[in-house]
Amino acid sequence: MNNPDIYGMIIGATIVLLILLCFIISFVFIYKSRQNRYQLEMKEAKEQYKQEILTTQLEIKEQTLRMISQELHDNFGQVLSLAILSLSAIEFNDPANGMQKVENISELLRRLVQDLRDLSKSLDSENISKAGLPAIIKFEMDMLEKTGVYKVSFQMNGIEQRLEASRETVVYRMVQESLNNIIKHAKASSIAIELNYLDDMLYIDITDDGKGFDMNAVNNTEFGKTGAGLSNMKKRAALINARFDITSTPVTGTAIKITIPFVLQTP
Amino acid sequence: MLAAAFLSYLVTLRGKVLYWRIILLYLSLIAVTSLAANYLRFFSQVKNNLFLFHVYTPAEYVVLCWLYYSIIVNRVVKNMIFFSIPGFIALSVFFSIFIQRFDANDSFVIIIESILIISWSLFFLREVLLLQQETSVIKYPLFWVSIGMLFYFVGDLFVEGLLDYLIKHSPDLAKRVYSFGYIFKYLLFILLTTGAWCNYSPKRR
Repeated sequence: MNNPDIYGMIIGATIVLLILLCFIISFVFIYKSRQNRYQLEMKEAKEQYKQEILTTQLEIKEQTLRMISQELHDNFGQVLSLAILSLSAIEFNDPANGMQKVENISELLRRLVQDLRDLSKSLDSENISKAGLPAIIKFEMDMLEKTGVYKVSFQMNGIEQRLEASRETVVYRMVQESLNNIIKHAKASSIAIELNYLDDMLYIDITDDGKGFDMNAVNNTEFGKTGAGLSNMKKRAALINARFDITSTPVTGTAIKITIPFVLQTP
Repeated sequence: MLAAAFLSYLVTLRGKVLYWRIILLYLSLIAVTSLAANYLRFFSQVKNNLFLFHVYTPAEYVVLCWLYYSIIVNRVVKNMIFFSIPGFIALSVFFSIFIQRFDANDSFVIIIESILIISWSLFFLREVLLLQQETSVIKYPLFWVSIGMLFYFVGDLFVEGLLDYLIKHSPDLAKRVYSFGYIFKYLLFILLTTGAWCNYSPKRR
């Protein structure tokens, strides 16, 4: 090889090396910027998730306080009023009658104490994590049945598997809101909840025999707005990798199906 | 440089990682072919050693396809790689028998091989970019391996693309272009060696 050839080789090699260097630098730069963008998106998603969980917990607390307020007014207030009335009507000159009235008042107060105990469970904010979803949903159904307005049915199939605490909170909130919607809008006489634990999924079916609604009109009504909104429930379900499906007709009532996989899928 | 790359992969051998062994196999294939070619050229009666490369090229393609098949995640691309192997071998045999015989340079087959390997390298680099599975891409051995393959086969495509024409019309220039191809080979070994050491930590073994 003569000198021009060697120079040509050196120049050629330098050009190739420069192109290689530019390629590597560009690739690393693009990789880093995509990585930063991805990490930012992950951080935002985590923040949004945390916010959503906090909002859900707050809504549960508000719901609990509303329920307590209603119980105090409807149940305790009336029972105590009845007890006071009965006490003031006791005739001391008729011991047998008086004893009977005292017995009745005692029975009323015993039931009141039991109702207070039941209510105190709902004040415990750790209730879901302690008792688990089936127990807490059954408690909600029992409270509904006590009103005497609804015929309730609760069934659990399979072996209970716990989810992460945050996911259980969101699922409980979705069930709670579904029941609220039934109470407010459905004019139903019976409500059924079924929990099906399979190997990899939990299915929750909530059905009522109410008047149903036109699903096409959902977005134009109050259903589409905050909190109780169906779109909000679907959004919350998506947040915990679950599915929220609803079918309703004006004749057959409404059926809600919540599907929750036990394992969170990764991309 | 080949010996340095081979020793690097041997020293930093990750027992449970398949691609490490495939790269060692690839380097062994290059070493065996180079030794055989040089022996035939300098020490034996056989002066035309080009038939070796008619065997080497499909073998090289199979090994590299195995490498990319094991590291690429996308199912569609994996299937493409898998089904390209018998197709390429059949094409190589056809070309060797009918188009560019065993005593001629198999430039057509090398060009096709280069295009395919460049495609697999680009697919893999795209996947690295999209999946974002590594915290630092510079410390990812397969990044360097893939860049090395990409540049080597781009160079090979350039050299082999010109060689047949130049041999007929300007043998001197053909020699220069062929020598220029060595730059890409050296780059390949340097980048493979970089891949072996970029993430090495003696404690990890």
